Amino acid sequence: MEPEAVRFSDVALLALALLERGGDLADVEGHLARRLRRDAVSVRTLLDQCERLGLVSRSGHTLTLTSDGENLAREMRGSQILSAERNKERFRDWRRYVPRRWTKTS
Amino acid sequence: MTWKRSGQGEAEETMPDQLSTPPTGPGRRRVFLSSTWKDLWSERAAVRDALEGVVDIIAMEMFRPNRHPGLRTCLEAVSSCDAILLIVGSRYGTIVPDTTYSVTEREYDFAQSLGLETFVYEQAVDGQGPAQVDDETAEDTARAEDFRHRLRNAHYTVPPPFSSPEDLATRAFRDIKRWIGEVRRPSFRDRRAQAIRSPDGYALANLTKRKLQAKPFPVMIVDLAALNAQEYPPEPPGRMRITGKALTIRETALGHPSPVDILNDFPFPLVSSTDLLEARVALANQHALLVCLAHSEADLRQLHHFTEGPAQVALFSPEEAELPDDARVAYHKTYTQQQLKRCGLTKLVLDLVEERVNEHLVTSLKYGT
Repeated sequence: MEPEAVRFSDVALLALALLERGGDLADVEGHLARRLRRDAVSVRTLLDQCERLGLVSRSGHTLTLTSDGENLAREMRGSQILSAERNKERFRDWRRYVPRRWTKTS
Repeated sequence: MTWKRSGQGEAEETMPDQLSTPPTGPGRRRVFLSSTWKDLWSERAAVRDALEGVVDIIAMEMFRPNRHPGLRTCLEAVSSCDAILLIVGSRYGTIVPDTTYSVTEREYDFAQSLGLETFVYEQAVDGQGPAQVDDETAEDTARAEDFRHRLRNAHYTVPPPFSSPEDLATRAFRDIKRWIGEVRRPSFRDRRAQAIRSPDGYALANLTKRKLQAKPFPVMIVDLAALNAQEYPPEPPGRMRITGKALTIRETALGHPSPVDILNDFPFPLVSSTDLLEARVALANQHALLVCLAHSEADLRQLHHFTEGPAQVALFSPEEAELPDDARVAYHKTYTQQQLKRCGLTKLVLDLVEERVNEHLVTSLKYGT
């Protein structure tokens, strides 16, 4: 059986998870399994593939992002911030239509 | 969720939760059903039944009880929809406290400010004027009449009033099906701000787009049967024709970050017909992936024009056609008549394009570019 091709989206999410959560292997594996809805085996395969791509380096139970991996994670985080900004714009837009007394904190 | 006073602490505000709207099907368009309740409940039920499975209908009777005021929940739901379907009858409806507007009119105004697609249906009224409604004041009746006038002026294509719930359901079904069927090109000016339903998905799409801008992966579809044709399609696109498939693939890939063009559709007005093929081959060689579509064995003889160049060549041919021995293609897949007739071939091509773009993105990571 041919190995499954690594997906760009999975690699980007893995880099982001490592940047956000630090490098503990078990913690990152559990987080990725939940986020990507995959089992532990395929998450480990993904980590191996990322290591081969030169995005991650592993020593013992610690994972570290290389400079390429860190650049990717920062780009991903930048895109997330952009999405949050756009949501906020939209939120402001619809709130104009609600009477003021309903927007008070209870 | 914390709900703050308007104008206070803008940076800390969060999006309201979407728990008040019911769960809906994946990828379907969402249509908000707006009308008064007491006089139009049977019409609402007819429309919901007719459009079940076609679009996701969001209606107030589907909302779960929550602690937020009704208008806020409704506007929140409108903002998550792609269209509004407004049914207007004799009643003006519930007035928003401290204002002179009804909830229905406010929903309509809000949908217009967001630029949502709008479908308006007016109930037929017997006699000259609107029917007298017992529980509404004369002022409300006048407001309802003003609202109807406003709708007629704003939507001058308002269809004639509907006479029964069945009539309304038939019209709504027809209009919504037409709306879903039309291909919409992305507009770049005056595009309204869309709420982002999946922040991770948005971030990934944005990242992919920027990566592909920095290092593009252009894809070209080549219809091998029409290489010498000046115009494309040379014949009207039909269900069993490759031309129809090529056009569908291009339309489907419009929103994709990697552009997909049709080689045969590229105009070369200053090139004579004898040099046309040469010009097309030169253009094809500037692309990363060539998707060659063949309809018969005769078309495969044209393949050698493209296999010598630097571009990757992927060939899709009918299963009965035999590939020449000297054909050097990176990817070859046969398709059945059933796949040509239905969407199978289109899906095969789009899957391949997605796979190759993904490979390209991952490879560009590997070499640090």
